[in-house]
Amino acid sequence: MPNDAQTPPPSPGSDFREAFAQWRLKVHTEVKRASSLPTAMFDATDPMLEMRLAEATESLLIQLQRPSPQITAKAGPMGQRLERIESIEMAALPTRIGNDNPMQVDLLADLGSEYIAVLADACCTQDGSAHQRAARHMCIDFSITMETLDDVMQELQAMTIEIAQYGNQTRPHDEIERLVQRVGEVLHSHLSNSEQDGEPS
Amino acid sequence: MNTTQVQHHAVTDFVHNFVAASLNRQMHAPDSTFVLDSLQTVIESLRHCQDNGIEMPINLQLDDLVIHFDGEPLNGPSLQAGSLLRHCKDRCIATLSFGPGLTADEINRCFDLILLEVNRDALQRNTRDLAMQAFGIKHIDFTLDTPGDPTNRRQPVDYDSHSRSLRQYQNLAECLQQNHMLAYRDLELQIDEAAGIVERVLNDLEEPSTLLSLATQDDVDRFTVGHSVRVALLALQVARKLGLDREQLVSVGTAALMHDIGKSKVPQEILWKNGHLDKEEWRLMAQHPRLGAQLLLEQHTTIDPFAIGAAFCHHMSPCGGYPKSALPIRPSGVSHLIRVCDVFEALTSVRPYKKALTPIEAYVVMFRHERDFHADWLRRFSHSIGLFPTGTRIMLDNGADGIVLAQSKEPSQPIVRLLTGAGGAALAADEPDRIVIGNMVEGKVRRVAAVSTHDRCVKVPEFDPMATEMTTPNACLSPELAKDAQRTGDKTDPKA
Repeated sequence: MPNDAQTPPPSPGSDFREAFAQWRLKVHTEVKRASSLPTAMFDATDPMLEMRLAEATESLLIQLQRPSPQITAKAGPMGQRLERIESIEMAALPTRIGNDNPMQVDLLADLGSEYIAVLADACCTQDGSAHQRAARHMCIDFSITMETLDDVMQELQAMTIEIAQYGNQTRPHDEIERLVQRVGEVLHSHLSNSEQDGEPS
Repeated sequence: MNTTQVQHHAVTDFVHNFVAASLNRQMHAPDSTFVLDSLQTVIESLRHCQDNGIEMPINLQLDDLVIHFDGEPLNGPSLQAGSLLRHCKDRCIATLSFGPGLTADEINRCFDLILLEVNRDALQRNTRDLAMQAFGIKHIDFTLDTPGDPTNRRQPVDYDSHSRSLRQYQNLAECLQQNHMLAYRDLELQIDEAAGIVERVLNDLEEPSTLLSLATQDDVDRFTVGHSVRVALLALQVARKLGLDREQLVSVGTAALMHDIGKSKVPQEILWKNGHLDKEEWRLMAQHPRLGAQLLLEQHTTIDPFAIGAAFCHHMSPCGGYPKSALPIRPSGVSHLIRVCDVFEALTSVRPYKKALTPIEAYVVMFRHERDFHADWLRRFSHSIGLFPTGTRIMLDNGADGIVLAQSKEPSQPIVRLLTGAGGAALAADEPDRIVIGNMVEGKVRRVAAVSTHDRCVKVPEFDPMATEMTTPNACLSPELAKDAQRTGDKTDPKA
């Protein structure tokens, strides 16, 4: 019968109309093959007989195929880690947090410098289209032109050296200088190409 | 846990897996490893239900927003079932039943009927039986919407604040799911759509935390997408209290929502690995911030610098973190905030390899490793979200149960709605049903004695006003915890 081992169900992603047609064809074929009655007898008595016979057989098969409820056990979630928290630590939390309103914080603080540093990182570490895109963003978003390029690079260098001194990242000055120079070269190349293409920077 | 709770968890787990499989099926080829693996998980969790004595078949009743079992809404799995429920509604499916003997292949074909546009009309009343047979579906049954029939599809929910919250959560999750899929396929992201949904959340909800409380009502969902949605809600909750204008709030929410988009470019087998990652696997995993920023930079639409910076910097800390940028970077306020939200969410969520901490325990861990965060942002976060965030189930020192409604000025003294009276007895008619912790009620100052998650109840000690130091102050996050904070994805394909 359809859907048994010898007649596999439709492949995933099938259109239902196609699946219906295939199934009907298979049911008719199977019922006719299994019956000794000539086809004309089916049609003469009830054109839907084949279908109903097939459905009855199908439902019988489904019942027979239902396995017993006792199926091999599958272990539930186990061995989940749990951080150890001392009660003294919880007791100290309000003091730790401070009951007074905390210092004012600024969501927009360092937004510009963070952005330019991410773009500079892409200019230094990526190749091909990625660093071209970063260069393009840098030129557009920070209004960098060929005339202002040197000034912007100096600003970038000063900013990154200050951050490095502040302790966020330890890189020697000469290395920062070299990296900024590399960013400058990428931007220079981008600006030159843009001018040649007549593209506004 | 008693038998009923175990059974409830087994069914919830099964429905979670079914929803996850449907999401994977919508995003991937039907014969992909992801789809086949997630289908197998559905089968295993169905067997687990059977082993726990749950009557077969399992009947799930559907409404527009929620999947129900045995008359109870399964909020946890419904949080990300938005698209599945919509497809079922389109086909007028009222209930889904799953019987023993179900095979992965059969579920895959059931998804053909439910999810494929080409099969939209296959389940009409006169073709339903034919469809079931033609698709070889024997162990799943659908009943169709029959008005007047008591077994009919559940009535559309009233659009109260709860259902509005659920719908917003589903929209956020669906939009993010879509963006992860687009990123995976190197297609243009739908950032404007994401921003639009964030804006609707801000317009529609007085407090984004109502959505967070929704996520804690049941088993917290276990998807990378769910993690990012909750990070976005936490970030919005804090940002709203900082007096930002609407446009800036939308930018912060969108940045938080997209902060892990780079994970869509991390190899699948690493994101999905259930055991420890080796050195090389961690190296690849640690690239996701740079990959995320790169993805956002490559979009043709203009992307907010908030989102690009946060995608790159949300794992950077004063202790170091990653990625190692070419030039020194000072993370923005937005990135500092998203980092705190990211770790808090990871600690308070359940994962296959760890239990969820209660919020107060999560704070202990974060303050233990205080140097891993910008100190001002950690404190600001604690004050905005509170030691007992909105939606937390608590027990007072007199044994009364309650749920946190809102925060007061003190992070340790929330406003609580009482669900029971002292000792769990029913609330008397003249008893106030809401109190502020720390305020005098009937001559006594009540305090929180315990908080509970879906599977744990944690005793809260009396707060010590004289306490100065905690046991291991100022340390950075242990590598294990740092990895927890980083590995937020599991069951569902995070690429989806």
